[in-house]
Amino acid sequence: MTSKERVRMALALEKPDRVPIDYSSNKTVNRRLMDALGLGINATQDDLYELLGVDFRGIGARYIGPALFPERPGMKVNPEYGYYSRWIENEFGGYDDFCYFPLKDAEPEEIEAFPAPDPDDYDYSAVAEQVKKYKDKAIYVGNAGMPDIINSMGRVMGMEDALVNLQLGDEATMVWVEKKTNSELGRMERLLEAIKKAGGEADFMWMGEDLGTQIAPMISMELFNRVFRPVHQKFIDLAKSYGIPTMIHTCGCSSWSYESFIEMGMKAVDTLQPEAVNMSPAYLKEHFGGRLAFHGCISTAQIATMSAEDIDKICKQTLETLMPVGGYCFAPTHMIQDNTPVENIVAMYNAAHKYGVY
Amino acid sequence: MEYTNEELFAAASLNLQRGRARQVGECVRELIDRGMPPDEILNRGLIKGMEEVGLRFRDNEIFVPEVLVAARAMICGMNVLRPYIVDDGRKPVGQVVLGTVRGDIHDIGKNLVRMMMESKRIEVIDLGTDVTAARFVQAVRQYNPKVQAADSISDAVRRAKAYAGEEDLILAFGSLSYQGALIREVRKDAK
Repeated sequence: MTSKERVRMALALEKPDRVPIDYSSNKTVNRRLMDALGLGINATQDDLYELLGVDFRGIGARYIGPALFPERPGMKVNPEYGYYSRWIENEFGGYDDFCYFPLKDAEPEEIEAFPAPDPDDYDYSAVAEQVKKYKDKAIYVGNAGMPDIINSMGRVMGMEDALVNLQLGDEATMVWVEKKTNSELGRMERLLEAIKKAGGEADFMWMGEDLGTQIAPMISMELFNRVFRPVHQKFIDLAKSYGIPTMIHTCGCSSWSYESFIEMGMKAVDTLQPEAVNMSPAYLKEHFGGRLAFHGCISTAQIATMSAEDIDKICKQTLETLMPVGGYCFAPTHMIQDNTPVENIVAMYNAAHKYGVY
Repeated sequence: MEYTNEELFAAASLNLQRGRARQVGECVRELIDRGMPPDEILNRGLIKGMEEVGLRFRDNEIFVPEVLVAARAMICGMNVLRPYIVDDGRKPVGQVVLGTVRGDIHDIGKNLVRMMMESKRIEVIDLGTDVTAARFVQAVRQYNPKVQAADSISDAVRRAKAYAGEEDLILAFGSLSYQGALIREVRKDAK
């Protein structure tokens, strides 16, 4: 069975030959893992994926348009969205973390005028090559950061302003959300067209919105319905128009939103932090099993701190719980963190292959 | 229609809970104009409202955005009230040194804690984000607070415990690393 067939079956809530496997990590630990597995400096990320049995590949288009935001000393700027970051080191590696917020305390006119990239300013010419390269893999468009309204607003105006403006329904903020949404939808549409033109087939669209803290919903159902649901629906509808399912990444305690997502036509949910409230494998299976496919549920907090033996056990338990209902894809809940011992990652993926066979 | 004083106190509290900043300011102004003691306006209007917000947040009836909006309404009320309470001779109930530890620049949790503490008349010395051990120690020596509070989404919080150097200092940590326990207190010498 190819990766494409395997993932398609899982997203259709059926049982393939084994659970599909996915991987994501921070840069530093990724390099350490490659070194530990004997993948030298010339090895590619695909080489690692092959070794781990990763079934998923993302297809994207590089931004080639004008820089929409000025450079600032000592900071990196994302040229499309105006996210300013700087490298924050910790003892294990580090993060590009957001450090300047161009719309903090901004006037409504500034928020409304904040640019969003033109969907035509992306290079779709490399899509055909990616389609060919990954013809047997499960390919997806989008990612967990789309539309990601809360975080993307937080990155340009600070999280406090973002949440307050959303709660108050600030008009200028809503104008900008719509502008950014249309830009992302336009890019997805062109990407899906490019894949079709290259003779390929995308297998799903990946989107995201972090809707929970560790212990509670991040926002009320009222705010979800008023602001988020209409935006999210547009992505689901676009994917549907190309005949593909949509998966949404939702960090933290997020299962409160899953009935709504089912109503909206969402097919899969991603991340599934088992340590968060109402997110354990058993809870998810009981409440949403057979109605949503699951992607994730292997805690990056646990694999960073547990022993390899305990990781084997917890992966086994997760697989035993979620496999019978169909639709489970084995994946970490986040990027595997830099403080994770490589032997733990190896234990995690060994467990997937050992216990994940139907 | 003329509101009674009682109704105005209740309105200040309720408007604060609903995040209606302008109305909170108006209620406070009216209560001042009626000669109500600033302390009573603070306690029966603003703090009462913020306490209710805290309880509803604890019980998952409202969420982070509602708390932030309410906190801003509290600030609006305080801005009107502050000139009248500056010289009442009362000191804050205590001091807290607060910061997000080195290696982390996230501040939403820290800011929420600050707002809640300030609403309880606790003076907060906010060191900001990405705060080094040396800076924490310096602030503790400078201000001699009762509490040092550190927040971080990384397990750097565990290392921050090593910052403790003061005999009677209460250390309070909030972190995802604590698997859902938002605040945990560590007392060197429990009192």
